[in-house]
Amino acid sequence: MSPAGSNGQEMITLTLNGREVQAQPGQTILEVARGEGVDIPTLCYDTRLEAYGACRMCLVEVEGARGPMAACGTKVTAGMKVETHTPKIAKLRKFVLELLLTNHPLDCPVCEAAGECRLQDYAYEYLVDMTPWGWRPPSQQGPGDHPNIAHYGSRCILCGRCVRICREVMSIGCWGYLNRGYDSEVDTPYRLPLQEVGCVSCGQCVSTCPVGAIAGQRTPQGARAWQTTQTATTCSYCADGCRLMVHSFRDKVVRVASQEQKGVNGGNLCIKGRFAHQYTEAADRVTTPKVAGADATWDAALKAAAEKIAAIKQANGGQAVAALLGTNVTNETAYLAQKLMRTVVGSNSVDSIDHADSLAVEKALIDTLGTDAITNSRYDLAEAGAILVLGANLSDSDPVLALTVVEALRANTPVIVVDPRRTELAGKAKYHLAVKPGADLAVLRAMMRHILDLKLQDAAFIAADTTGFAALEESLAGVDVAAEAAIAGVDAALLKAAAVDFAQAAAAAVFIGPGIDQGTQGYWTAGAAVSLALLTGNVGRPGSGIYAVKAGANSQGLIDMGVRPDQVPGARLADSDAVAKLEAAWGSDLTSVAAGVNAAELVSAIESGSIKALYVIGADPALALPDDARTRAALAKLECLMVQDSFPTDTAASAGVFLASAVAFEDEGSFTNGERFVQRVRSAAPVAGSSMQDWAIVQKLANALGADWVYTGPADVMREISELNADYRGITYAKIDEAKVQVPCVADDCDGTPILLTRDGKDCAFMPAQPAEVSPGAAYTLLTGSVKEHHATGVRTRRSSGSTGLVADARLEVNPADAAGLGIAEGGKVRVSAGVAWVEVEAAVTDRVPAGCVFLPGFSAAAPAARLLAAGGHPQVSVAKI
Amino acid sequence: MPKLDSGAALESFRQSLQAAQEAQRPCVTICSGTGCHASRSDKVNAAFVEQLQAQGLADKVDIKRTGCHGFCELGTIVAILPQEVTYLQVKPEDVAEVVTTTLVEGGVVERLVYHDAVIGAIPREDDIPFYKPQTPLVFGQNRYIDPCDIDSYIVKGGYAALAKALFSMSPDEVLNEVKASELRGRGGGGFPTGAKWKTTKEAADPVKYVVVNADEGDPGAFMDRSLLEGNPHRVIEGLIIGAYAIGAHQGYVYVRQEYPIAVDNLTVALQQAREYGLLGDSVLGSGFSFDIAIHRGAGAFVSGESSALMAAIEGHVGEPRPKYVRTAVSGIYGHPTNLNNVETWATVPLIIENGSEWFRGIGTEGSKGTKIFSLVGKVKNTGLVEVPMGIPLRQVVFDIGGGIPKDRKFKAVQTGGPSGGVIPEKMIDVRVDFDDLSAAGSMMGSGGLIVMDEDTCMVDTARYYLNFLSEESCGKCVPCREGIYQMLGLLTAMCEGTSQPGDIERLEEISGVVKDFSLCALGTTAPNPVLSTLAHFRDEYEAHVNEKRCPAGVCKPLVNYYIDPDKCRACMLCFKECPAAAITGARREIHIIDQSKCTKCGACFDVCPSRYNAVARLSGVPVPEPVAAGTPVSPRKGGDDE
Repeated sequence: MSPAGSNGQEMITLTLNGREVQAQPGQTILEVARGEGVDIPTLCYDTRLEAYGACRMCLVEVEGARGPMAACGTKVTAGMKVETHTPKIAKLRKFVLELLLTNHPLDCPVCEAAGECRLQDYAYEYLVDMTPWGWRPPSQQGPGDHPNIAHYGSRCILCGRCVRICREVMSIGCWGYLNRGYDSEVDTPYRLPLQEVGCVSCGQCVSTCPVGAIAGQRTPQGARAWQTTQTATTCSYCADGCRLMVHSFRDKVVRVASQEQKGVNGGNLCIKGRFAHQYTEAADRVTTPKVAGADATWDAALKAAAEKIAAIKQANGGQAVAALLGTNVTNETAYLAQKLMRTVVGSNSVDSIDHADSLAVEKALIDTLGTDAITNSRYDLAEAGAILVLGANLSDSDPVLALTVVEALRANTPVIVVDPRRTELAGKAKYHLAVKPGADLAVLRAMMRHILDLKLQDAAFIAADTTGFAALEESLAGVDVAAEAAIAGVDAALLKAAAVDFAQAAAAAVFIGPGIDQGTQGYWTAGAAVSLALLTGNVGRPGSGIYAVKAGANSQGLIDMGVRPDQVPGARLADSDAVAKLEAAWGSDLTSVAAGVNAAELVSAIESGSIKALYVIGADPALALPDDARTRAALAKLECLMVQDSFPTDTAASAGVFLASAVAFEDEGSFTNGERFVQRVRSAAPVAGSSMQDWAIVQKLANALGADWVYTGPADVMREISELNADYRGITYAKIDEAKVQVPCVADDCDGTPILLTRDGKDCAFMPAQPAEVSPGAAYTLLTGSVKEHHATGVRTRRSSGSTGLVADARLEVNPADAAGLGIAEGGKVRVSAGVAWVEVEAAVTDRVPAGCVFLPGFSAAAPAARLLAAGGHPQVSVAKI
Repeated sequence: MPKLDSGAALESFRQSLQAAQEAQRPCVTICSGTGCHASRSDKVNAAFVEQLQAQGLADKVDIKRTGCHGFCELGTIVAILPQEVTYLQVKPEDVAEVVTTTLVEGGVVERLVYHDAVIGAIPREDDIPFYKPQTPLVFGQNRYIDPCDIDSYIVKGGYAALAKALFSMSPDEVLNEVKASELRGRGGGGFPTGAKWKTTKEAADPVKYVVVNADEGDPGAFMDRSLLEGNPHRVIEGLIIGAYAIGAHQGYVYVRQEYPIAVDNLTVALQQAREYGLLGDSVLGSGFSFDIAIHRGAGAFVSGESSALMAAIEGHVGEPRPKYVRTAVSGIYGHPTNLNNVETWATVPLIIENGSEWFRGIGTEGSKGTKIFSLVGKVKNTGLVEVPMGIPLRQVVFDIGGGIPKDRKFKAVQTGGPSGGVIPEKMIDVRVDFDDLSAAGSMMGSGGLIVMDEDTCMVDTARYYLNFLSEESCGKCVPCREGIYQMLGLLTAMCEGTSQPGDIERLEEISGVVKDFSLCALGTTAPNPVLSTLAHFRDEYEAHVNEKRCPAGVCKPLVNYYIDPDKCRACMLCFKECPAAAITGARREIHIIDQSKCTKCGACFDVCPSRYNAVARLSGVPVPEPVAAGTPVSPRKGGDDE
């Protein structure tokens, strides 16, 4: 899965169709041929899978071989002479196709795959006579009742790609073979519905099926591949940054597909990326600006907004205005928004909504490593000899990045999951340390103590590249491994074994997820995780590194663009040289702007009256921030609330001005994914109604406030970003059109920076390991997080049938023992209360959640988990049957 | 149980066993191989236990249940030692007489010994013509050994080769000895065993495996079964020697679930070998550790293919994978794995014990040693035979096999199982070795020899094999899964009289695709039964397609039975025998077959007395109109009516 590039080995020469070509040792004939533009046909081959050799379409003639060789699996050798399209081979391929057609339904007119069906293409290309061997069409089967995935067994050509992708890539195994020989079939175990065999609705089987046997369910707006406009763009949900191929027809998005070998996902997608796109057509989508809840013209809306802001600025100064951005706001919009706030409004209170959750982790990482970005990427995870996953439910929050960890799991790399819940990864990992909520620190302290006891630390690295080791040692001096394990509620022997595996790995990676920040000690926990990595020399090398996973599609880009009160594009606000440069470029005085408030401080700042106006772009603080009653009250108190969104969010309910914006499929610009890859967002459909793209709205608002911005489009904005942000200096749309580039990309000829903190003498700082503070809970500890079907507060996924068809609303996960005690049955209604706040939800009885804990995902509007959360900490809740 | 911790300990234990044996103590050996098992050898055994008790010989005579002797046609075989009197087709009711006559009185029960048309009674087993041309090197010990008693193997010299390898040869020397012997794999491919071992030995991975392929699946073949059932320790010994040479510490025996006795006996043998210190940590105290696990196959022919077999051992579906990297380099769990057939492993101890030079002295230039065949089909003496490589096929069929029953005419021999081909009569003098059989258009295979007589239809034979292969194709690759199905369809049409002109050419065409494009050897060799029968018996195919005629009269839809009114004597035999009540007739009335009721079972044809020969089997010609019902039989010329 590593990006193409020389592996340093000497090239070998072979002859391909009479032409001498160069190849890397280890490449297959197929890889070499495709690289040379020679199209060898395949049906059972997928770059994501191991070569299978079943379809026999890729057979080629190799001089001296006993018979035709399968190009998909045969490695090239020096001097090899390969002929890919001899008359004999063509005849044999034609035969194979004719044989496949003997029992194919030939229902092409109603088949989803028509137009992008390999069987159809090759049958035509190889001059197949319809069915010279007779035709025994199987009886029509399908499509089954899965909301997203249709299975037409009668069209199956038994290439096994679905079976293999579900097993090899997803590590699940929903599909398998039934019967043998001519009677072989692909189906689920015992022909159960997909929903009952562990299917996560990722649609990987859909993406790999070369015919129409497994496809997306047909919809009324269905259109053929040749009828649709296809646009490559970047997914706007999580921080994985998957490349999508969006099919639109008659100006509407009808289908989302992926492309093998393209993008960081290489063709893999999850349920949200592939199926949750119907929100663009949601019935309640707002495509007209509004003032005080009534439809308005753009001029009227912008005028109303500008007047309010101007008035507040006049009365209270620019610092009384704050802006809050959602995580799928593009770099270009984010750049303009913070420029608007800093230079036009005069406020540093510009932040992203996810910062409220990531505050502690970001600060800990900056204090220790000087960067909160993911230091490496999925591409060198294959070199990790151990992976620690701390408080991150990757399979649900980052489903495609998680596949890289799954790949490592399958290669027997020890994976250590520290999580109270038995998450999908925890169920497959070598170690699941089912820690008590909030006791992650105890696990990390015990691991470090054990590593020191066994003298497994990387002393040379510690001496040369770190500071603060003595303080760490001191903080661990009296620590007893067994006692810490007991505090964590984890088996000490298991913990020790995990620590040894981690320390002895040639390289080890650490994932830090939002789970740790739900405790009060998020800062110290993240710091301890960094210390563990430093202790074992695990930064700055392939396979090592800190992966502090980000919440949304452009979480990293927002930081890079300066969407932080204490940060400007490419620099800390405290960096006076950088600020001076920006002041010169912007013609604006930044140093006189007061310090801003961040997302976590916002509500109290409104309550105290220091913030009087709020500009929200693509975020829903009413549901996202803890204690929703308090947040809603604060929002209502604002003198001016401007919401720029495509939907009537809970936040928009109290908005004075609503600015109707394009959804991501209608937008242009770029996202910087969690691993710092800058990728294009391209418009796949025209902007609905009178909505506008976000960047354009920000520019109009700025100009309404007296600026004279004349950006011609997002590309123009990106030009300015690259001029002013040193980390983006080498980024242009042309460069990132296809290539995968990680920032910092500091010059035109720079290919990006795959690994941060390479050992250039920079010091990384240890953080003393604080003791864990575990408060004994009287009732149930509430855990929250994501489910793979929904994103964040669910503004878009709750409006997408691809998600709601499977998970319509949040359910409270309750351990069977607790459920029995409370008399709760599967699907029974329960009331979850924290203080005076409560939500009512259905219960899901599962041992994924430990006894004493309950889990409520955060996407629901009807039962917002945020309502039960105080700022920080795992709240204690009571649960009662209704 | 002694734990043998050195070569010397093994030798002294063997000597103590030999010393304890009373040379003249009588012993009843009862063949308990699969053939004799089917002939109720267990009841014969029970009868001997009972009779020895009844006649007061229980503590004077031993009973030993041995492995297969090979002469399955005439089981149950009972050999009385030390006289070496061998009784055939022994039934439980014969036992009392055998005990009295032979064990008490020292005589011979004449009616139970082999009778040759020329020589007369032959009491000694080795003198029987079936055995005389054989060279039972690998198989020969079977009849003296109780497979469930390791001592009976050790007393006959068992595990001496292992001791020799471990204590007087380096692994390289063992490997070189096997290489020098020019032993070729007995499973079918005939790949040089030493070269295969070398590949695995030299693979960089320190974890290596050795595997016994006992997934014997060819129709009619049971060589490996009889070896595993009858002499499991020889296979185990060969495997340990191989593991020592290659550097493997774990072995597997992949054996079909359908071989329950083999599994049972092997399980006992492995347990006993472990208890004796011949398996496990430090084999015989040599420091070399090795153990063997049994993996039972779930009944798939294709799992005999190496990569499919290894997938099955890993717990996956037994499907072959393309062998871009050979299993010798990347096999079980990706580790180098050396797979050999049962017979190959069983041959190894002989080579180590007697030397490669001795082994090379047997056989032909390209094929050394002996080969075990299962001789079945239309032949008088069916059973297992072990012959030196290079023996003419005619000798196997006619001298050992005794020729064709009922004096029918020999037609062909199918060799090599479903992947092999037929050797027609004109080539019956071909030498049986790897290269000559290949040159003759067939192959050695694992050693199945199916003899066919004039009543065998070659189109039907091909259809039979393709049906087998169609059922056994795993379904992974397109040419095998779909192509065999199409071939079977064409062949079935030929046998059922629905084929079209040009079908032979279509059959040939599709055979080419399946042969060239299939993934594993099951597919690439699947057309062989068709191609080889077409090569030698194309006229039969043409008769089926063009004339809708089955020359052998086997294909029912192409055959009709008709009673010749001129020959029918109204004897009513066919009338009584017809299971479909399709024959009408009465005394002195000409019998008539109602073609609409006739199921073509041929019972009428078989029972019609040869002196009348009134029932005719017609194929490719219209059935004449029957005479009117009630037509009286015509008076016989010469008037000798019954």
